[in-house]
Amino acid sequence: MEDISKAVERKDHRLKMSGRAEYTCDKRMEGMLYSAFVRSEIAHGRILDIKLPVLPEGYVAVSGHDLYDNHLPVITDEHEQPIFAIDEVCFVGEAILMLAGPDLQKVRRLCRETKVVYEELPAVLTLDEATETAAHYHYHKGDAEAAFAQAAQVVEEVFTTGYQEQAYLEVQGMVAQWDAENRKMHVFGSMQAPYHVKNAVMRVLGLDAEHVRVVQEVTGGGFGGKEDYPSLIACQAAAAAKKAGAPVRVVYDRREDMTVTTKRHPSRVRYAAALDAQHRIIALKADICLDAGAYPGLSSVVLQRSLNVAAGVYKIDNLDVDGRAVLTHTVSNGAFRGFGAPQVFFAIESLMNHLAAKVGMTPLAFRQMHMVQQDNDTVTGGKFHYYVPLPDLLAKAEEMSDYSRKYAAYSQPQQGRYRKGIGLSLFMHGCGYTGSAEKDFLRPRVILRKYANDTVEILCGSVDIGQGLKTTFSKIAAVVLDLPLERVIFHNPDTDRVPDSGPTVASRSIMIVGKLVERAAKKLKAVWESGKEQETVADYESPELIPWNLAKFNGDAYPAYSWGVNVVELEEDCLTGMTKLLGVWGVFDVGTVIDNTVMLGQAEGGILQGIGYGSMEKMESAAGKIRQTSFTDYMIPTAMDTVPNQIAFVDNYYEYGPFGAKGAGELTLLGGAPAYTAAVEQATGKSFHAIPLTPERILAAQQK
Amino acid sequence: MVKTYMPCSVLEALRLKQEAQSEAIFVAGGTDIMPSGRTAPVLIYLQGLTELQEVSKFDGVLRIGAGCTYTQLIGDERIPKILREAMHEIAAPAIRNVGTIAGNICNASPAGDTLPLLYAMDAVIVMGSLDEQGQLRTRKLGIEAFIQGVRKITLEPSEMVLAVEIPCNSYEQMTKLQRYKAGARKAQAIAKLSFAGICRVEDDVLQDVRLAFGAVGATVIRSRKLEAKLKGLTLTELAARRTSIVQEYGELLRPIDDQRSTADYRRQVCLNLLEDFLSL
Repeated sequence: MEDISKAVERKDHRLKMSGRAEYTCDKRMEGMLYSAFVRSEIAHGRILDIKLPVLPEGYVAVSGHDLYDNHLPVITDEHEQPIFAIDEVCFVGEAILMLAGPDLQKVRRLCRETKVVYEELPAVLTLDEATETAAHYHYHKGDAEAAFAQAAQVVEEVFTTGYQEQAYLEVQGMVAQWDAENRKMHVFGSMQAPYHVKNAVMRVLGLDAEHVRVVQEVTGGGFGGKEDYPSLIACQAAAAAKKAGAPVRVVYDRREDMTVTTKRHPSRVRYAAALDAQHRIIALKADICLDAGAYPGLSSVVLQRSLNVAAGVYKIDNLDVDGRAVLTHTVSNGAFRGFGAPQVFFAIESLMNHLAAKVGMTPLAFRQMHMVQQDNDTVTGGKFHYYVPLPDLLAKAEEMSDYSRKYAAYSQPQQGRYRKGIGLSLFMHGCGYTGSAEKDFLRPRVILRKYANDTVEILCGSVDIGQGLKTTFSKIAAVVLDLPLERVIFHNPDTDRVPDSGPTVASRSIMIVGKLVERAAKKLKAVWESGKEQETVADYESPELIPWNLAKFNGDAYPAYSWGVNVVELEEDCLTGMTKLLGVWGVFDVGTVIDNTVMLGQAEGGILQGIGYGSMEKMESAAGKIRQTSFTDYMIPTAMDTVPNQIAFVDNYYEYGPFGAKGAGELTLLGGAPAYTAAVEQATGKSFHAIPLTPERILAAQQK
Repeated sequence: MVKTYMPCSVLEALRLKQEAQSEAIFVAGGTDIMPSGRTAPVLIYLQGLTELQEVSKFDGVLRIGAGCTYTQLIGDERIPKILREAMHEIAAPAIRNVGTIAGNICNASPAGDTLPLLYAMDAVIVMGSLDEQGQLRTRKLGIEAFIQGVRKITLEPSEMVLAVEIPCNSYEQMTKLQRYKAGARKAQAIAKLSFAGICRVEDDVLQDVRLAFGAVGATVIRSRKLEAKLKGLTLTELAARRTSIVQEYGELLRPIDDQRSTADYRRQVCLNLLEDFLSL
């Protein structure tokens, strides 16, 4: 195998296509108990009493009192989420008790028969009403006040975004088994971060590292939804398994999953832009607010990423950026592909279009006036250390989509029932964790183990959740070692066997952990002795960066950036406000592509998930309860809703990534929503400030 | 325990139903029953009844067997093209392969995808039961009378639907047939609202018109009173009265706000589609 980008058959292809893959819900163990939850029916209140029915023999009830420590470790020590609510419930669906027993129907009936008596307390249900802050950051650059004072024109706009549900095909699930003799907890399940799960179970049950083992099962999608949430259910399942002395399975049903698991943060982004007489943005103020829900969880780090893209891909000399994540009595929000960036890219890209229209320029020309370049400062005083290929991406997008000609044509007055529009978005994604977490906390490690038969096993904690990691990691090792792909093995991680290489999140796997695979493989190649058992280890080494200071929100937030351009062309029906996509284009720089087919899957899936976010994926909370809790009511686009996408990649080698690769998974989602809404704006001649931009919103604007 | 039966004839199916009465439910395609989680002590599966899968056209009446699947009907050229188009927009191939026309009717959802057209075409439901001698007895009811409300139909516990009859003149002699389903996406979507309009214009006069609206009330809404007002109008008269007619229909619709859409949107789109249809 020579060309790393050339597509191969995926390592998991046959297993999954044949239907033989066993997911968590397929797992059976002797004496295994099934479980269900008693959950809060109110948004906020005190628990006065819990009336349990008489439990039959073999059935157990588990509460927060059964745990060594009833708190889920996430990031900070404040506002920690209880594993089970004991005194107070803070959102509809919060777990109060778990019942487990041999018959699932009976367990569910016992849960329904359990009566909780509450004293209702006032509930804060929306971001606008919220007063309690879970995280707050602020930064500035230059002198925004002075620039606003001299501005020829000031424009203020407010944008809002709704929830987005990850909609992984496989619901959340976990099985825990307590080995009483060795006092060891074994946990199996669907997850993105085996070591997060392990650390959580250790803390909650008061066990040391030797006595907790976590194994990832085949995982049917995550999109961030299985970054932190699986830790919670692992703790619940583990507590039950220990108490019952039998294996306990937790598998959510879809409605439960959609009601209680973390989602993309709804947001409100206020901008004020100051323009000079030459139509250049001289200063930008941003006020970003995310709805964290009941418990902050990952909200602070999500917010950090929102702030880092407040100016999009544009060079604006004077900035004043403030951001908060606020607490409400609604379901907690957390990680979702893009991690705080999609909200802000919708806002900044829409703002750019509106400003361009105000100064009489095309969206493209106005953007070209402001694009960042290599060696420019980032918004936080870091640097774009590498070549910024935005002009190349735009040239390619123009060539493929004929954007400028169509934009001009659709700007002419249109008649009739159907009107056309074309929209453009520019975006970037900082690869890996924000700040210095790789170096300071994660310190990822990869081990390559060569067996006597000269096959090589990759030992790391990264997981394949459908994104193709088994294939891409194996390719990296195989190409370095000049081995056939089938001689490289990658088993689902088992924390008793693999080192901690950090969670499978933040578009870090290929760039950070893949680089360790490459380095370990190079080491192994240097000492390779056929027929001998050998092992090499690679530990993380940080590139030279401008140190990140979180308190000052200053420095290099990311080692490298991936870049993208999307174009969406559509037709809108004036009678119904409904749209039909006519063309979708994506041009990306992800460094070297590790596998063309895998990357194409990421690109097409990401763009459609982004367009879904901007158009039809409506999830609302009414009186604190999620209204769309099934795939009948929560709409994600299907293949019927799009057209064949045209995707291209621009090569831009990155020296610290394996074979020159950078992060790719999240980038592809960021541009779909703003390109879609821009196209709708052109077709309708109206401005919009909220997503999802449903036909309801489009028609309401049109009928005015 | 649930008892399940797969009868080989309609008479056998009716005998089973007569014995079990409300204890039993018929399962045709099962595409509504299965996700609802509904069950009963006795399930009678109808897939084996070829008698119910026949289409015939005789004496100006198109008769569609209750057990015809959407896929079967989409491929049958005797079925009006517009009805086939409506069926083609139902769910996705897997559902269309097993879902049946009588299932869509008996489920009696205001959002049923075939219903606005069946209302507009004056479809008649043919029901069967056993008489005292154990012989088949049938009765017929117009679809508007058959469907009484949300998931409420006029069917005795011992009865089953045998066929749907559509008078051919309700579509063959028509000059304009239009329908629209507003779903949140192009497949696997329940209609937010739907519209069917059929009319016949001769010598610049609106001779016949039928207008039906789905998912904006407890049942599909069709007003014979308003249709009577429209019939006989010249196209010039129609153009002059179009706005007021649309307004009158606006008062008839009873849309709601729910997790799928808003009352305002449902009403507005229905009226936009109506106005567009009446632009003759």
